[in-house]
Amino acid sequence: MSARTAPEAPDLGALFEEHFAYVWNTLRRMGVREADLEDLVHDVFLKVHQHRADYDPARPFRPWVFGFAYRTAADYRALARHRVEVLGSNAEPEDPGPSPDRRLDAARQWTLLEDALGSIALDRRAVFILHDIDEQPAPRIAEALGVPLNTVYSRLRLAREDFAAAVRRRRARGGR
Amino acid sequence: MNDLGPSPDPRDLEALRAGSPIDPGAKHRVRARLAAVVPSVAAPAASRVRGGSAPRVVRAVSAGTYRVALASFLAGGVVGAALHARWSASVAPRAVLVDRPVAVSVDPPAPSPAPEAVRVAAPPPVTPEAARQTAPPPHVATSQLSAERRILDDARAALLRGEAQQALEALERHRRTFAAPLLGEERDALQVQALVKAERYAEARVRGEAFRRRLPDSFYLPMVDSALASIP
Repeated sequence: MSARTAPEAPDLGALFEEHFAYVWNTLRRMGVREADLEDLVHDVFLKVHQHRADYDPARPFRPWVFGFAYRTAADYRALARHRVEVLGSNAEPEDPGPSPDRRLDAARQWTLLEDALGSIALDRRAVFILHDIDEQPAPRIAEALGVPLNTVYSRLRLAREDFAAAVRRRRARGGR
Repeated sequence: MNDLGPSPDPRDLEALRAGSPIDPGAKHRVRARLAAVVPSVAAPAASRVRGGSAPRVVRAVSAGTYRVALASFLAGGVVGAALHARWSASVAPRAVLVDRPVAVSVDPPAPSPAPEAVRVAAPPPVTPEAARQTAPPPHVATSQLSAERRILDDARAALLRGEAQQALEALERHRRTFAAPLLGEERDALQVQALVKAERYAEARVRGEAFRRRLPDSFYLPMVDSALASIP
């Protein structure tokens, strides 16, 4: 008879292979500088390994790992006292000048959106990322972040308002 | 239902989901560093050998990559062959830090000196508030993080090779170099592991228990507890 006991802790190698890009992009979206992403991705997976016995395989992995990424990014920001991020800041970016064509190419579009995302406060941004980008339901987000469900809805509304305003400002400048 | 604010343009969300290109080398480097702590991470092929829980993921990645390489070979001749060769190299196990994984906690019991009172200088109490007061200026914090990380990775790799003394020397180097460490918690956890590995059990117990009192909610506490539990 197999010595296996259920449920088995997840295989870190398989999780790493499947979710590396997700953790990388999540940390980046939460303002970790490019130069520090490798270190912090490593830290997140190390925490996953240390807490693997707590993971319920019946639940989706990404909201669970998002919690580690969120706390890692928050600690990183507190240590580094970063106020200006790779993704952007509360300060408006410099006006690149009038574009002869209102259509932005894909790279500029992505930069504009990431910059707008970076202008949102981290706690609101986390909810926006989980709900609108990762398409997770609100109750699962509440569990992943350890906040009440109403807090998730409130932060989502504020994040969407912040994001819409930030995108509007940046496009208005870039489209002239 | 509360108003949830203006829904973002789906095209904008798709652009954000796509993310930015990731340097392929980054994944290899992070995997190699993780493998120093968790040898099973070393290479995707290793999970097949273990017959573990990830064969579906590994086969899916390999099949997709193989189809791309095969199509390129048929269409491009020499170019396709070069791509195929690159693919073969990329899935071959890379050299990683661990040649022979050595579990820190699994050691045959060795005769230890007769127990006697051991005076061990207790580590200075460090509270988060005190650490922040002596924290480096923000503009050097990012580069310090990388520098600390490299030394701690050296210590971990030494532990996995079974070289406890080298690990302790690396940790001491970290302690001397960084008076206000960003990764002091991790260093102190590795210190306990290294002391156990070096069979300095009394010191390990003192430091381990001090760690638990100082940092009862630490991510690294399970590592400390596991090391102490392995003491014969």
